[in-house]
Amino acid sequence: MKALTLVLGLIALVPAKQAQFVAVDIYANSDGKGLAAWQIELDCDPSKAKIVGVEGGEKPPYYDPAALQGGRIILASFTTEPQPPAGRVLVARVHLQETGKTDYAVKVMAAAAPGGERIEPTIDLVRTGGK
Amino acid sequence: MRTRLLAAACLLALLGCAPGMSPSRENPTPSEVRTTTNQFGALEFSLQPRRAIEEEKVAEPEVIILERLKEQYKKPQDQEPGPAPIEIPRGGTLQTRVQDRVVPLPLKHTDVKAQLTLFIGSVTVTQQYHNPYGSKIEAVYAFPLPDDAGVRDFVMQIGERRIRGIIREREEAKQIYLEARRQGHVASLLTQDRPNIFTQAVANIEPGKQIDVQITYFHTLRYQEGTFEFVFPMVVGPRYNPAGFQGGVGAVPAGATGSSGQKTEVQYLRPGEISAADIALEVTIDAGAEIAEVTSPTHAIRVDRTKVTLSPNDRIPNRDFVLRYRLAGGKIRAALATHRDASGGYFALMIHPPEKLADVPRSPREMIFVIDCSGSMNGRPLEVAKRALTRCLKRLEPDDTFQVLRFSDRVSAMASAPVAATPENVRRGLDYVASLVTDGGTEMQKVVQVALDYPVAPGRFRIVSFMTDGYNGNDREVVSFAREHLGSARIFSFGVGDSVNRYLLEALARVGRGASTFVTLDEATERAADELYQRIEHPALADLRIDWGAMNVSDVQPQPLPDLFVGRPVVLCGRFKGQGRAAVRLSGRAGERPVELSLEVDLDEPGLRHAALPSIWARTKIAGLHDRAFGAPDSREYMEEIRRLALNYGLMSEWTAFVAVDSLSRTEGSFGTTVVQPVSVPSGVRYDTTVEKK
Repeated sequence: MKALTLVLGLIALVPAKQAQFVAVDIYANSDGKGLAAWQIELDCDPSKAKIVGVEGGEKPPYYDPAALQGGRIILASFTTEPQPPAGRVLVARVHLQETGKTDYAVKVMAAAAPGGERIEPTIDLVRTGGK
Repeated sequence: MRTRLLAAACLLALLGCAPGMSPSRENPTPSEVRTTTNQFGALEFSLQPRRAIEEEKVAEPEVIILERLKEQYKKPQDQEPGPAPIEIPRGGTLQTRVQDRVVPLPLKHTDVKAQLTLFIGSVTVTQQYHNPYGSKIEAVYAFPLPDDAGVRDFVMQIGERRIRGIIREREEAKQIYLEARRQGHVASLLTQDRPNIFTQAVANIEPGKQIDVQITYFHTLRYQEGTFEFVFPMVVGPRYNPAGFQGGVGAVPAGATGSSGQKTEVQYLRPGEISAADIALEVTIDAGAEIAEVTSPTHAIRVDRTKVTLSPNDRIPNRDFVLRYRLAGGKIRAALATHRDASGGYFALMIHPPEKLADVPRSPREMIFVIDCSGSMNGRPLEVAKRALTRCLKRLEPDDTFQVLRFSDRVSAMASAPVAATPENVRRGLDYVASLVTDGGTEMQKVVQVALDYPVAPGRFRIVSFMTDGYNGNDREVVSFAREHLGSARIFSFGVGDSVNRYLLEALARVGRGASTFVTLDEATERAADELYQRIEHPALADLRIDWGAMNVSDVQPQPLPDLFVGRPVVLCGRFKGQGRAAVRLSGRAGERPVELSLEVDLDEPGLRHAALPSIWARTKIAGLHDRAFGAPDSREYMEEIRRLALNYGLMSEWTAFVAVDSLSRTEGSFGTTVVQPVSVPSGVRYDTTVEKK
């Protein structure tokens, strides 16, 4: 699928001796086009990290509870703003409880500019908090 | 702009992640019923072993009982139920606030916003917690929601930041929360203890700080006699737990944490104490038709066309909020709502009983009236129940038989067996009802057994009506017990009070294949009694079978299909694969007569879409599984099925919970003091007969 962009965010982690709470910020860069709607999948090792919250804007992104059972989270959000933010945008912050070393992978399942035009933003992850 | 909106909506529908869019998705075993006769010839029943009966007699001096009954017999008997007395608003006034001691507590304010569309309510409850103390706290608050609420969304707000909570298995969520609390993170945990009792915990609230928690749920509205009813419960009533039972809901004085020995506990403010927590409520009605009348029998409201708000002078959360509205012309816009997503189609269909049911002659009834005389019914609740029962007795037909059972922690009866409804016997029944006083705890299981275990007289149809506030902690077990002992009887529950345990009353009616009616303490009792009697008086459309035709339907809930009673439609939920127009054919039996109905539906009608339907369908299915889970030998299978459904549909249940952690805010030191939010006893309920019994 052409619209499907796969980005692997490989984040080196220090070994965690005890459970720690961290945040993974998901940025989307739509190359100047406003990001009106998007759906992203974030994967991690469910035995090493559990998602404990999703943040982002006035209305935090929604998630698919069924997908969550498999140790991944599918997030989606949209805005009806006529000029949604463009450039590198923090679309979601995922709070996690890490109990071990894990990598995070993210893929864009779909994204659209105002008017419904499909776009292919690039994604990068920034992990904050913890040790 | 419109194009953009449509495009965004279509895209999200494709993605399948918008809210409401579905994913790809002990009883004590009494060995015998013992009977004894009291001084008025009334029978007393006990399911306890002989030793317990003897102890009970010692504990209850006969002379006192005799004197009490004599006093009652001096009272005017067979009083005509007059209009409800006019009372000063009981919800608390400014004067009350001045006189009472305001206790500083974490819950500051609750804000409720409800959107009522067709027959579906979407409700968002925001609880504002703050820390009025000098050191860090954890706030814990047990609160009610409707017993059929499908809690689908949970957001924790810290300042301007909003964190959506994650649905997890209950124990897993709890462990995450405890670890976050230990490490000093701001975190919150929402658990469900009963279908209508939830507990919110918020950890690491620093002095002077505020944390909001937002809960969103969906449910279907009651609709009968052309009137919709929306109910928002505000306080959990104090429950009584049978001796030795530990899985109940305890009622303890503020600060007496753990003293009930029950798994769930609610703390109550003492008389003269008041919380500063208030409530604001705004209801928007989107009925699709002109609203002829909007009323609230419980609160002072302001109505601005389709928007209803609580009056600023009536914001003490100590009783259920009840809102009723009637549409002009008495007809609802549509009976069918649908929703489609990646996992398929969902529908909710309101089925109205055929009008001709009212013309079908009824068979002779055996009416068993059960009245709660426990301590929580002391005062006005018992008065209201007695008036309702009096009205019911007067409406008995000569070919009916009847019995009156009173219960608290003991059961007694008007007669040794149901008697013919002769004028003499009705008079005897009225005298018996007039003599009733409150005394003891709410041990309902005994009376359920007595009421259901009488041999049914041939040719009669047994109807058992429970008049109670439902304040017993073993409510799940009572429901399970009733289901197992139902036989051919039907149960009609009659809730009495301002904050009744609606879960128990609705579940009894559901497993008893009957209906529920509620009366608040300021309402005209006659309305509720007549409503109850109307259900009973005409045969129901029973043995309902539905040919869904081209709708191509599966997994219809509730199961078994409920009977249809005069004036009371039912809402069925299910999944469908069909498209376009379809004919639905219903058949059943009213008395001995076969009855058939048909209705046309249009599955593609765009105005009848509602994104909450997957949640409502899953929640309805969970309710049915929950009814069967307790007391069943294969209860683990039911619980596992509930857990699976709840996780897949992102719903609260007794085996799932919402947790939210802010990984970026970490407070110093230990998590501080746990402060349990005490609540007022519901209006009309006495503290000294329920919480601290004197």
